[in-house]
Amino acid sequence: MNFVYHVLIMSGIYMILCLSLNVMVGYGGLFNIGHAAFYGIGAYVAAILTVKMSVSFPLDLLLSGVITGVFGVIVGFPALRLKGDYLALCTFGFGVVMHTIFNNWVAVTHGPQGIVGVPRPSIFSLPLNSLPSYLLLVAIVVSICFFILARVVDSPFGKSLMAIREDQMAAVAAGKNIAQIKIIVFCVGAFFAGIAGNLYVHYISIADPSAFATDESFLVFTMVVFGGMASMRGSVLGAFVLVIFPELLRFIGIPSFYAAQIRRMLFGFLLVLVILKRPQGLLGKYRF
Amino acid sequence: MDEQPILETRQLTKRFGGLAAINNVSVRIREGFITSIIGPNGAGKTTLFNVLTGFLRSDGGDYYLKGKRITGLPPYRITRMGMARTFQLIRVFPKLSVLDNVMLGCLGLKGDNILYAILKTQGAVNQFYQAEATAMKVLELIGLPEFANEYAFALSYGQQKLVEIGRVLASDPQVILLDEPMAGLSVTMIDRMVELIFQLKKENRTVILVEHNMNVVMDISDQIVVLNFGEEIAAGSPAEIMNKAEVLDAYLGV
Repeated sequence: MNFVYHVLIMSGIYMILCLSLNVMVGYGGLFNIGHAAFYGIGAYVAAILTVKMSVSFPLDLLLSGVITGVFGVIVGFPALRLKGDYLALCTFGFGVVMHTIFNNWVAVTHGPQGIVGVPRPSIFSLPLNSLPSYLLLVAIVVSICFFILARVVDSPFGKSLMAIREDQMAAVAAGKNIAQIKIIVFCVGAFFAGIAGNLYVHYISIADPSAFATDESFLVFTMVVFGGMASMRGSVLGAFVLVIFPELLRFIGIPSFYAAQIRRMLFGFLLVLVILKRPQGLLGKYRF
Repeated sequence: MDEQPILETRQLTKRFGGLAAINNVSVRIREGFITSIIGPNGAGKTTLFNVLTGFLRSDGGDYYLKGKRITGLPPYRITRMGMARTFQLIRVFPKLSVLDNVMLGCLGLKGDNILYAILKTQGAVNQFYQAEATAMKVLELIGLPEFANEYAFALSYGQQKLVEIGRVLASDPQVILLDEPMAGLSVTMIDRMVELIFQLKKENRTVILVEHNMNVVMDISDQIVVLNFGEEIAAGSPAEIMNKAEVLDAYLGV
């Protein structure tokens, strides 16, 4: 039963990552393949705040989001001049840089050992030590994220965002301040990735650089494409399926040593399959 | 022409390297007029549009909209000031619905602000429905209400041109710049476009077009400006232009 809770908690965390990435990539056409960097920043902020500065839970969740959001703005500015592949390279580079920082800035991040002993949060002095209670917390946060981001994409703001994806010049001609919109989207995307990082680190109890490497970015990107670009429900489904699916390998008796390798092959296979058979993703409407 | 022009350029210059695409052009566009800008290929017509709408930076001179200097303003601000344009090669949002395409032209919606989008206040929602109603009215004007929920890319070339004009109209502009609205259209579609332009004039909007279809230009224009090698070589009513030897030489080829 603990295993089921674990899988559900992890898929909830990935849902937040996918939803926030989908707003950037699926709706805005802003190719971010360094999302794990924002995830990691949120996680480290949470670890530092709780372990070193003993900030308590609801506040550190918010701060993880806000500080990561600031990083989003910082990355967003140079990204204004880039689009498509070039933006992808820029965000990829950011992901690599952040991973290197997590790994090497020992004074702050404790390097490869990571920051250990991040406690489970407590709400109103009620510690969420059991897995079901933590799952409940994750479910609530996922719901709030979904609610907010669904409203964002379903508004005139979201339409302008899609207009940027479709044709930047036409969007400008229609009176849209596209620079401002892009910066806001980078900020919002990073904010929610930071929230996910916070939930992750409180759950796993250690902020360790290997969890925020570049392949994590690709994994989230794969989930978004798999579930469907520009589909909020697609992102929820994509995260859920791609977290659950590899875990099922355990039940068919593949030793865990191989399972990790097979997992990657499996993701590659699923991605190719989706691109060939259903290019818009499982629930997507938009096809690149 | 003593009254204040709605759009005016003064010694406007734009160079691409050594080539002056627009050289010292001073034109005055009268409010409520249909003005055509004609000239051979490479005369600087589209460049003039691009400078006026902020897509290109001028290298000299100024331009004024409703008496306000708008030199160097970014395109989105010029659109918000009441001057909107279409493009020579159509630019619609292909994978958005026709209704969304037109609605994206609406200016000043509260929901454009992400906080209102999240809070979804009653005011913002009402305004959204108003914008939708405006967009439907525009769709009726351009004759495409039955395509409201189709993707823009599914429409024909001519229909997409109308959608682009629809997006422009949704911003309720006083000055409309149309870059070759007749190009590539069938004869019936040209009639429809001409009718639409007359309708815009009736609504007291100022229409400026770059156009190569001389029959249409002579037919609908109140004022014609002729450019050649970036310089204004003639301006006047269609009848006056027809009688100017230079123009005939440079362009009409008779």
